Amino acid sequence: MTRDERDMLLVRYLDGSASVHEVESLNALLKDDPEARASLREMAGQAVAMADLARERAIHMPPARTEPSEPTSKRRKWYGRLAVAAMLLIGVGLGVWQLRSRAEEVTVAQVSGAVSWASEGGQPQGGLTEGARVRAGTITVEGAASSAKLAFRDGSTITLMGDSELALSGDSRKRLTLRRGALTADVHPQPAGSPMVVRTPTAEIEVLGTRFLLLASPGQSTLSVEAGIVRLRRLVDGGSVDVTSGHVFVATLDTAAKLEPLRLPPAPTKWRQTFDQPPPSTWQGEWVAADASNPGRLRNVLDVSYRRGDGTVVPAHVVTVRSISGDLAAVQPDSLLRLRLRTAKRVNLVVLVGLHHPAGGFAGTFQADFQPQDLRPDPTGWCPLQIPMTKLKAGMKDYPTLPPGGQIFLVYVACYFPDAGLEISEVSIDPPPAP
Amino acid sequence: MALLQDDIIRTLLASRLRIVAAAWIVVRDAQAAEDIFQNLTVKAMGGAATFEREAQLISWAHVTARHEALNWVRDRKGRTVALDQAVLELLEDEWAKDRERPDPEGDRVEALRQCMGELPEPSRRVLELRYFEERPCGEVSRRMGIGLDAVYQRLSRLHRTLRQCVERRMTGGEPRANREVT
Repeated sequence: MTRDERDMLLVRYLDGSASVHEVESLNALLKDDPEARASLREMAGQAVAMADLARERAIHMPPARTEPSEPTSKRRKWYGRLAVAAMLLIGVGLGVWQLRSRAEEVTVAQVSGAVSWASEGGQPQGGLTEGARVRAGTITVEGAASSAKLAFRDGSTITLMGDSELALSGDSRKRLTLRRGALTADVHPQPAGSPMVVRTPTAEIEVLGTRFLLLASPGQSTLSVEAGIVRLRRLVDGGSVDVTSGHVFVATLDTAAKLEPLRLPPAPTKWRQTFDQPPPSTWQGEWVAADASNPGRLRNVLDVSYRRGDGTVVPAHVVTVRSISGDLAAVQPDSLLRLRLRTAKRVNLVVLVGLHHPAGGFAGTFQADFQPQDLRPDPTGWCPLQIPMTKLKAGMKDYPTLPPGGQIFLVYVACYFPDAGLEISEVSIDPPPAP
Repeated sequence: MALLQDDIIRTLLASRLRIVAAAWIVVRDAQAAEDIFQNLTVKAMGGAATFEREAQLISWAHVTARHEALNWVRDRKGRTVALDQAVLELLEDEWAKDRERPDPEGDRVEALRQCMGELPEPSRRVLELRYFEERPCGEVSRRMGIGLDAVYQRLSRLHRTLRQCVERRMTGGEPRANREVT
């Protein structure tokens, strides 16, 4: 093996891309060759030193600048800081090292649909991919069926679902701002005195280890706690409340509202929605009032399906129905999703549902595709579509199976042709038919 | 007489780069390696063991870093491809000998910074993507628009170039890092 080949193998090992066989060869080489060991030590030492230089740059530059700048002339500040802080540690007897000067790194564990990232002060970058690692900045999820799962180093996860915008802070704590949208969080126990903090336009919550669902809009935040306790501070008046497992609290700008969480009702097994009244603003669809020959209905509106690599949008024409504060209904594998819909043209349709686990946490999306011939209009021209949950296929590889008792929070119907004229007059979820 | 806490912290900080590098070779994750160093520092200061001599402390730190790194890998990645314990012990012995070098670690980091500053932009960018931003080589390849093997080759040569440049600077020789590595 030449020196070049040896050093390339070392680089590949450190990259994690060397095969088992190659690492066996490398072990044999390293046992016998001091020069190979010296190369490996040098590479590792340089890598760690460069990580230090990156930290130092982060200290002297605005946080989360990913593009490099010229090195500063300030030298060895990092070491000076370490030494001083270490002495302080000794002095006050702290048990926890407080010197992590850069933002915690977060791994993008799963992406579906249109998800983009912008570092602090940077331009949005489309095409965020699974495995990408991000620090301070903003992650934006566009489209009702899009989602992104973020994994922290301690195993805690956050899943953004539907149109959402989440900012990660530039400091070393888990400090997030959910500007809008929905997230589910599974937070592992946090160090004492250092909770995860999530801020919304109307509330700030502190999390020490729990599962919860948080929905945020400009004037309202809804916190549903599935396990553990979350402390919520209402921003309008600073009033705080502990929300315990199985409870929900809505923080608005209304100071007269009582600081009392409500018990979450169990998700029903049967649910039905017609559109005789205008729907909540979080649903997608243009409401059309009932007339002499047709019931009230939602007509499709444009939504983001995904973004191409160049940032351009692929639109979808959609109608969505979603829960405002929790879930629409709990389902079993043989539960039925029923739709009553029609289209002006013969088009393919996608029907997708988003689920939460019965014990909380995101459980994936499941979908089915329908051809024009699958839609059979009744005498009124409306097409009843009955979909057993077993016919829905997993839309995300991390969530391959539909969990029994899973709770549907989103029903999404889409087509990809303009002027398709998709309209929905009824959505229902029914338990399995009696034997 | 046992080392006092300020002796412990001073000794560990003086060898920090080597201890973190030893952990990094196992975990191959800069922040995890840094966490391991911080944890073992807290342990050492908290009286996890009594140290009579600096060499004893450094030896303990390397062994502790190795164990914590292997545990981290097992916890996070399950079965994984790793270097043999015998190799890791050889590396630890050599790092301990490095400690006897007269030049402080901080000076070597400063020399490295200067050497990096003299590299052509494309070479520096490869290093920054890989080690400042901790991106895997595959991603460096895509971002730079060059083949994966070219990334491996470029990195291996850049490490060698920087090593030579740092050595020259530490010994007072003329720095010559400013050539493109292809």
